[in-house]
Amino acid sequence: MKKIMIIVGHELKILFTDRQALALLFLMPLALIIFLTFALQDVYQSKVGKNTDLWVITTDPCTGPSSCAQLTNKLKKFNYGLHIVAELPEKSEAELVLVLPSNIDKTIQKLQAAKSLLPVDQIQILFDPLLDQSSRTLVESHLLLSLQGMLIERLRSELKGSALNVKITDVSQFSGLVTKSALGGVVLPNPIQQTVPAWSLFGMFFILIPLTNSMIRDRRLGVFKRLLSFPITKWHLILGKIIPFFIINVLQFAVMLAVGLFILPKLTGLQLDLNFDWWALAAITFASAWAATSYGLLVSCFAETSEQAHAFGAFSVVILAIIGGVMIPSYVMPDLMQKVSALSPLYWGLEAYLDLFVRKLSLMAILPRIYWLLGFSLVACLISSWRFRWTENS
Amino acid sequence: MKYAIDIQALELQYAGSNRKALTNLNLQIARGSFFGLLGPNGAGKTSLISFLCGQIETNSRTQYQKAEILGYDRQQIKNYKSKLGYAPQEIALYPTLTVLENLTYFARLMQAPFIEVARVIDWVGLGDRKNSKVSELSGGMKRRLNLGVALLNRPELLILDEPTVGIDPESRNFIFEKLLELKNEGVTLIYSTHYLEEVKKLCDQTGVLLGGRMIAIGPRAEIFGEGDLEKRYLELTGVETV
Repeated sequence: MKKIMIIVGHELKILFTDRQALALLFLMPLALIIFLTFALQDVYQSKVGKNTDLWVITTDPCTGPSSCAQLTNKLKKFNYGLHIVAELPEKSEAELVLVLPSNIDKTIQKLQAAKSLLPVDQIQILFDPLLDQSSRTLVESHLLLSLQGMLIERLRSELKGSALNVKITDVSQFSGLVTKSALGGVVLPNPIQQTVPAWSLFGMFFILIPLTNSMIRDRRLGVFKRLLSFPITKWHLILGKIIPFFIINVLQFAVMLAVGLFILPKLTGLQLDLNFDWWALAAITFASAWAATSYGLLVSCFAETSEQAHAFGAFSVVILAIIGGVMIPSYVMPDLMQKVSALSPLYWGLEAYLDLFVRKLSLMAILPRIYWLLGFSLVACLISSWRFRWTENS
Repeated sequence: MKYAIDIQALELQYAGSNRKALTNLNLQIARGSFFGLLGPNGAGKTSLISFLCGQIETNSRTQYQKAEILGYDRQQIKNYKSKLGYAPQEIALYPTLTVLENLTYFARLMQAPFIEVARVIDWVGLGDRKNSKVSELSGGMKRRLNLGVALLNRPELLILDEPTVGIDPESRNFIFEKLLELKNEGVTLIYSTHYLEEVKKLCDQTGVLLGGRMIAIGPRAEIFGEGDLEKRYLELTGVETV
């Protein structure tokens, strides 16, 4: 153990003098996380309801106690920028248009009389062809909730004064619940929940650049050859080499998480809440770090030169990141690609973090994904041990 | 124990190769000898050194009747590694670290006390450059330091693989003097080289390898006589390149 720690200390000393490597490991994921959180805000969160213009076309008066006024008041609570007009202006760039039937009061009364929420087929919603499906579903949900709210309020006013005192909560406050189930029960991460783990993992796998540098440098310099005549074993050397990079990986994630917890919320107004199992976070991070360092070790054992290792390493990490859902979330991929995703260790790491941050699962529930990471790491280490070369020509 | 190295019928073959790197090799080196190992490129010098230093794992492709190094069987390599010093042909040092940092790192791995670091710095004559980065040293200084690392554990057996390649005559002479000092202290030295004049100047025992076979071994004077070393070498090996 003492010999391993001597090698660990030595490697850390060399690594901390390599400013370029440190910049790559910390600044690259940091910049990606910050910029992509901003850039992808509308991808991971529907922009509908954030002062999005909603054109309401009606020929009825939309003031006072009219059904139109009640409905539009309800819709305002979802933060639409409402434009109530008799007909759409010719050159408008409307994305959302709600066409209310004439005499909507009668439609509402019919619904109320039925004492149930029938499909509101007489109200027409027109969408911009480019508007995504989740946003369309969201608008429909807002409309249904608004109608539902109106009906309940009317029911409440009719019951007022009667012996039955029913307390009915304004359903519009459940709008958040509807937002979360916009895609048929699939919970969508907010940009911070997605980008922090995704790009941290990406940066962690780039540990292969300094790790392969270290391994290939020692092989090229003849240091490995010299160390073979020392009273140390191959495993002393391999562990001494990968532990420092494992530590750097954990530090990388800690820094990115701190940015996600303390800086990004101030810049974006979004949250990466702390309501998760910290033991699970540690387990996922350690497993991901081991996977990343094992992959670096594997590449270093096959590559002949640093140039080869860098070119193949960077290319392979980008490919693993693409299929692993880092660059394009796996839930938007077609079925076949979602199956291919499972080949990437970044997929298991990212899904484990999303299980924790978004789905709020426990360590026990996340363990299968951690086992996949550990399995990948073990296989990579065993192949590396078999392929390990002490000298350039051995 | 008369011999520092006593090897009989060593056969060594690398994985994936259909040719033996060492064939029926017999080698006995008495303690305190200065043994010059000669042979053209590809003769098997590096393979022999790798075997002695433990850089080749013993397996079905490595066979021998006897292989004792410092009195221990080759299988018990752990027991003699602490008494072994090895200076590879490459400058196996970290160029971004200082002389002191390099020596300290290797000394700690060898479990040598820190006082040995100070001794070696003095021995290689780099006292005034101990805080210089290795990349800032001259070729001769790097060679001296490369040799110095192999002495941190005060070895009984020192194996040197072409330790004077590419250095100036001054540094070469410095290294020669220091190596003869070690011989006088009783250290056994194995010195692999392409320079015949170095063998003439330093070695009392010599072995010539060719195609993985030891074609000549014994006192230098017996093998080479006092005449033209190069001519005798060419007669032995039949090759023009030393």
